Amino acid sequence: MKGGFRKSMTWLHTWSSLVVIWVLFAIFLTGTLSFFRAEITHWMTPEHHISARTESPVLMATNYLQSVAPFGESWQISLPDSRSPVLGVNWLAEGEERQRRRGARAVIDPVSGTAIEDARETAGGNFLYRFHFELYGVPRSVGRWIVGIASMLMFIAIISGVIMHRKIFADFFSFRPGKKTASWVDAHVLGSVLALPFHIMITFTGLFLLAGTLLFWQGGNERGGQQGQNANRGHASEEQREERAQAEKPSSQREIVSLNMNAIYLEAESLLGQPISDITISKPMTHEAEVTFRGSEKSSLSHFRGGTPEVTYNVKGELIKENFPAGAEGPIATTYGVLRSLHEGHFADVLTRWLLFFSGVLGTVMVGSGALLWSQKRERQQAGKPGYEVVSALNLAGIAGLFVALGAYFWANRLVPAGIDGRADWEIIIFFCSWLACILHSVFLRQRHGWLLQLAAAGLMFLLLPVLDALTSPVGLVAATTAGDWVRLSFDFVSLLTAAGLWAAAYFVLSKGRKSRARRNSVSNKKGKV
Amino acid sequence: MTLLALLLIILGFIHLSASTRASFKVFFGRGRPQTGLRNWLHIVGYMYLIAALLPCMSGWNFQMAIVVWLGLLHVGAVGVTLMLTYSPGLVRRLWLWGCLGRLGKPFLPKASN
Amino acid sequence: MFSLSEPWYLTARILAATVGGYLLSMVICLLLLMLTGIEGRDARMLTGMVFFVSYLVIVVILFSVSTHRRAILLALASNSALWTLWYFMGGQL
Repeated sequence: MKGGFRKSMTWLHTWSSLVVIWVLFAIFLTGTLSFFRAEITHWMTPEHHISARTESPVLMATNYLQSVAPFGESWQISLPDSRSPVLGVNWLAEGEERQRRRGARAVIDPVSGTAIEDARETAGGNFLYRFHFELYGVPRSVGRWIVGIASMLMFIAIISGVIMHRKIFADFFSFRPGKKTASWVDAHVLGSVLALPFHIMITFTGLFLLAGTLLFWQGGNERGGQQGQNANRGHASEEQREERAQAEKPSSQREIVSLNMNAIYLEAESLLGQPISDITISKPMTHEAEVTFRGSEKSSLSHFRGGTPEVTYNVKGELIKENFPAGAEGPIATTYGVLRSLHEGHFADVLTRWLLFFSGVLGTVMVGSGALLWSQKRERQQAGKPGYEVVSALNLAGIAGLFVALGAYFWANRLVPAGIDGRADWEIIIFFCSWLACILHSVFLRQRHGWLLQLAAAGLMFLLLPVLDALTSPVGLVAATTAGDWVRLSFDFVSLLTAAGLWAAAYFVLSKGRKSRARRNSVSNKKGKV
Repeated sequence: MTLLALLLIILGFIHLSASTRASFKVFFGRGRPQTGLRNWLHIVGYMYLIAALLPCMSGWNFQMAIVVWLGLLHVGAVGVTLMLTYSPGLVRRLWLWGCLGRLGKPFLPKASN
Repeated sequence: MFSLSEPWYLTARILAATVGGYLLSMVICLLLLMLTGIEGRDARMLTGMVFFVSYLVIVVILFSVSTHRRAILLALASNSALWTLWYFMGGQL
C-alpha cells in the first residue's frame, strides 16, 4: 500500500474485483440477457410460436373468452407487442373469487381460434433473471447477500479503476489487437471506459435494489420500500373491487350484451396516442361491462411498475375514466423511481432495450477481459503457483464454461421432451451439470487446449441454435419471417453473433498458441529477459 | 432520427479521437496534436455530441431522450474505436466529408511543428 | 498492535475498511435521517441511495491513507465519534 495514492487504488482495483470476478461475470451475463427476459421465454416456448401472427386479435380473443368464460368476472387480453408477440388471455370464470393472481391463462392459436394445449413448461428467461440477483440452489437471502457483496466490490472496483487511470481519455479510442497484454488492457478499457455511465448506473442501482437485504438494520422489508406502496394500492383496489362486486351482484343479469369492441378500440388507441398492450373487461357480456385499455408505453421514467396510461369505457362506448399517471411524488421517490426503472428497463422500447443490452455486453467484456488480464500479466512470473492456477482454472470455467452451460440450457429447452414432470427443473439441472463438467474439465485438463475446446463447444452450440430452432419449432424460420416474429428471429441472430464471437476467441487462442510455441522454439534461451 | 443521432455522435467522437496522440496520424498524416488544435477539436466534438441530443429529443420525451442519447454514445464510441482499428480508411472518409472541425485548422495559431 | 507483521496488518486494514466502513456509512445514514427528519418509505429509499455511495467513498479513503496503522485508527476514531454523537442525539435502532 505504500507508494502513493494511485498505486493503492490499483491494488484496490485489482483485488476487490478479483475476489468475486467469476460471480460478477455470471451476474453481468445473465443480467444482460434478462433485459430480454420475456423475449427469451417466448423463444423457449416453441408451441406459442404459431400465435405470432394473429389478424384481428381482439375479435379472436373475445370469441374465445365467450366460449370458455361467458359472464365471467373479468377477462383480460394481452395483445401481441414488441416483447411478446403472442396473443394471451386470462379470465376469471363466473362466481370465481380472485384468488390466484391472474386466474386461468391461455395463449390463442390464431388458426383454430382455440387455446394452444400442452405448451412446454420452461424455466425460460425467468431462470436467468432470478439467477442474476439470487443465484440458484442457495437460500434466497444468502444468494442476495453474495450478489450484493459482489456488486459492492464491483462498485469499488469501477471507481478505483477510474481513479487509478492517470489519463483516462488518452487511450480512449485505441484498440491494439495482437499485442498480448496491451490488447487485453485495451479490451478491458474499451469495455469499461466507453460504457462507464452504464456501468456505474447498473452497479449502483443494482445495489440499492438489494438494499432490503444488505441494509437489514433499516427495518424495511425485502423489497426495500416499494412493498408498502404496492401493498397499499393492491389493498385499496381490492376493497374497491369488493364494494363494486357487492353493489353489482344483485343487478347483474344473464343477458348477452354485445359491445362494439372495434370502434372503442380504435378510439382508445387514438386517445392514448400509442399502441394498446392490454385490455381488461370486467363483468363482460352484461350491462355493467367496463372495458379498460392500457397503453404500452410509460409516460415517465420515475415509474417502476405500472405507470402506463389507461382509459375505461362503459358498455355504451362512452368514456368513463381516464388515467394518465403523473410521475412519483417528491424528489426522493422520483430519483428512486428513475434509478430503479433504469436498472430494470421497464420503460424501455425496442431501441432502448437493445442499447441497454449492448451496454450490458460491454460490461461483460469488461469483467471477462479484466479476469483474463490478471492472469495474462502474471503468466511469466507465477505460472505453476497455486494461486495463479486456481485463478486461471476459474477463468476458464467461469467465462468459457458459462457460455457452454448457457448453450446447453437453450439446447435442453428444445430437446428435453415436452411432457415430462418438472421439465423446467431439468433445464436448470442441465445448465448446472454442463457448467460443472466445464469446471472439472478446467481443473484437470485445462493445459491441453482447455480454452480452445470449451470455446469451440460453446460456439458450436450457439451456431446450431437457429438450426435447432427451425427444426423443433412448429413454425419454420421462413414462416417466422413472414409472420414478423422478430423476437424469435432476433434471438437466433444474437445466437449467431455469439457463436461468431466465440469462434473468433477460439481462433485467437489457436493462433496465440501457435505463435508462442514458435517463439519458445526460437528464443527459448532469452525467455526470462523478453 | 436514431440514425441521424448516431451519425452525429460518431462524427463527434471522430473529432475527439483526432485529438488523441494515438490516432492523430490517421487524420493529419504525421505529428502530434498541438494544444490549440486539440482544444478546438474538443469543442467541435462536444458540440456534435450535444447536437445529437436534438434528434433524440424529437423522438422521445426528455427523460427517455437522455437515456437513448447515453446508450447511443456507448454504441458510437465503440463503433469509432473499432473503425479506427479495422477500417481507418472509412474514418478518414467520414473525417473529410462530415467533420467541420477539420475546417478550423488553418485559422489556428501554429506552434512549431 | 505495534508488533504485527505485514499480512496481519493488511488483514486488519481490510477488516477496518469493510466492517468499519459499513458501520460508518450506516451511522452516517442514521444521522442524516435524524437531521433531516425523513421517515418511512422515503427514508428507506434515501438510505438505499446514500449508503452505498458513502460506503464507497469511505473504502476508497481508507485504502488511500498512507499507512495501515493510520487507516485502522482513522476507521476506529471516526466510528466511535459518530456513534457517540448519534447516541447522545437520542438515536435508537
